[in-house]
Amino acid sequence: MSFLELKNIYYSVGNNHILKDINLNVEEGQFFSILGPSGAGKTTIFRIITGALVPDKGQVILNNSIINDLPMEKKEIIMVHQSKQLFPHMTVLDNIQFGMKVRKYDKNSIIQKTDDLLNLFNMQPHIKKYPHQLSGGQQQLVALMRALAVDPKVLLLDEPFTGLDSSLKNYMKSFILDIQKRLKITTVMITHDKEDAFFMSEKIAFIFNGEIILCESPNTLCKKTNIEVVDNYLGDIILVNDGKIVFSDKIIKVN
Amino acid sequence: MKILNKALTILVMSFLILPVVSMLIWSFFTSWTTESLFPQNFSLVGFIYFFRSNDWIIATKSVLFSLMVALVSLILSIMVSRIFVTSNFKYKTQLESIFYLPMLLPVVSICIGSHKLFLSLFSNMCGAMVFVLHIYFSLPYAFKMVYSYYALWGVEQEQVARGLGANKYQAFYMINIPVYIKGYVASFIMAFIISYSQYFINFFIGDSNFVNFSMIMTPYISGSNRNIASLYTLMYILYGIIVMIMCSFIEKMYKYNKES
Repeated sequence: MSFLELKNIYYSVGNNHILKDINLNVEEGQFFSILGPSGAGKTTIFRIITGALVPDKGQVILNNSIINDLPMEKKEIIMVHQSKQLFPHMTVLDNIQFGMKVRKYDKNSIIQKTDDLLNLFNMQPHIKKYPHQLSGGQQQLVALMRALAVDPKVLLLDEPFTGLDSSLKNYMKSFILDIQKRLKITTVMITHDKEDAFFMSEKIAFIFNGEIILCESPNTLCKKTNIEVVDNYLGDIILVNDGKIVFSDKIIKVN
Repeated sequence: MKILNKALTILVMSFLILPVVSMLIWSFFTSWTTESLFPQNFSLVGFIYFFRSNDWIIATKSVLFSLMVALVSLILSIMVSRIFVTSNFKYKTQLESIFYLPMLLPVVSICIGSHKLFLSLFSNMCGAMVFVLHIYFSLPYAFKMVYSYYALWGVEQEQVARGLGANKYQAFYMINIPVYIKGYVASFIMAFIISYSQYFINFFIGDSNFVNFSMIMTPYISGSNRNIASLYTLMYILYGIIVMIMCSFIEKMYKYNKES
């Protein structure tokens, strides 16, 4: 059963149709990815889900309620941006506690929650630092902690591994996946990187030119889809066994 | 290299400081002939004249008036910039051509006589019209500065804050202002300077009904009374500096509050 649903979403700017009849169903606790090339309309989908953009047509449904007209702060959906978007004038601690403070959590639960997150993410030594004093990976972690601090119903990750080197990226992928499983939080990630999508997702939607071409599990996508644009984008993928697949010469494990 | 650096610094500083020192000396003396090394006739007549006449009141009113103009220009600039950055609409590009108005406005308005139109249409609302016209001149500059900031940084951080639970006022106050404070202050100062130094607008529209400091200062500067001209120029600079200090104080105070 769908937890987050996009129904017949259309969005255009002038005569430029950015999104055409987008339909997506994300189940509760699922890790879902939207995969596609740059400029396909991935971030626009996220901006519509969060309410930063208003669709021309269509509905965003969360837990059986239409949330199109809800103000952004009431949607319980948090997006972690590609560029991290930490508040530059606040310390790591203030960034993490921002959401809890504006939601007026009581003081004890703010302290408790902050401690839990800092221990979970192992960021205790950095609480007094400002975002510019952190590395790219640390900034990503803080952005994630800040989002998780307010217990969102859905977490949206916009190209979360952009700008990270390969070893850090691998660590972050496993780490985020581990956190997602532990907290059982419904997560949608957008990425142009097929390896990231296959590694992390239980389901992948392929978007091209503002249209969802198909939506399948990684295992199903290993077979040829006979859709030229998808097959060209994914290249040669061979399912080996035990959930392991081969991308060109690389072996990765499917989530 | 170090000596050259120092020499250049001294040279540049002297360009800034020497005229002020000269005016400062002239403010206290009524004569300084070419053949004399030192000025003659120490006198406080300039100060007495400035404070005994209504000129200091006019100067203060001018500053307050320009502060209001700058504030309104800034608020309008923020509102328009936000619309431009967050919305896509028809004729947006055409509207963006307004950015080029700062280069044309002062000349065109005088050439086409728009100031006279204002005067004839609203002759009984002189003060309000001068206010509107000051905004008409300062807004494009203020807008351009604020819009550049918005175009560069966007409003994503505010949207993140809203996603985290802040309402739009909290997002603006807690995130937008601290992040954009430098742009806002720069824009405010620019609008203030433009309004504060308007001579023509007040002269043409306000006539003698609405006098500002630059209007009363100009005759002294163009005349031969260097004592009063220097004093008035110094007072003019002083008022400007006070506003600048206030602005940077607000900027620092705000940042301090947030960081603490």
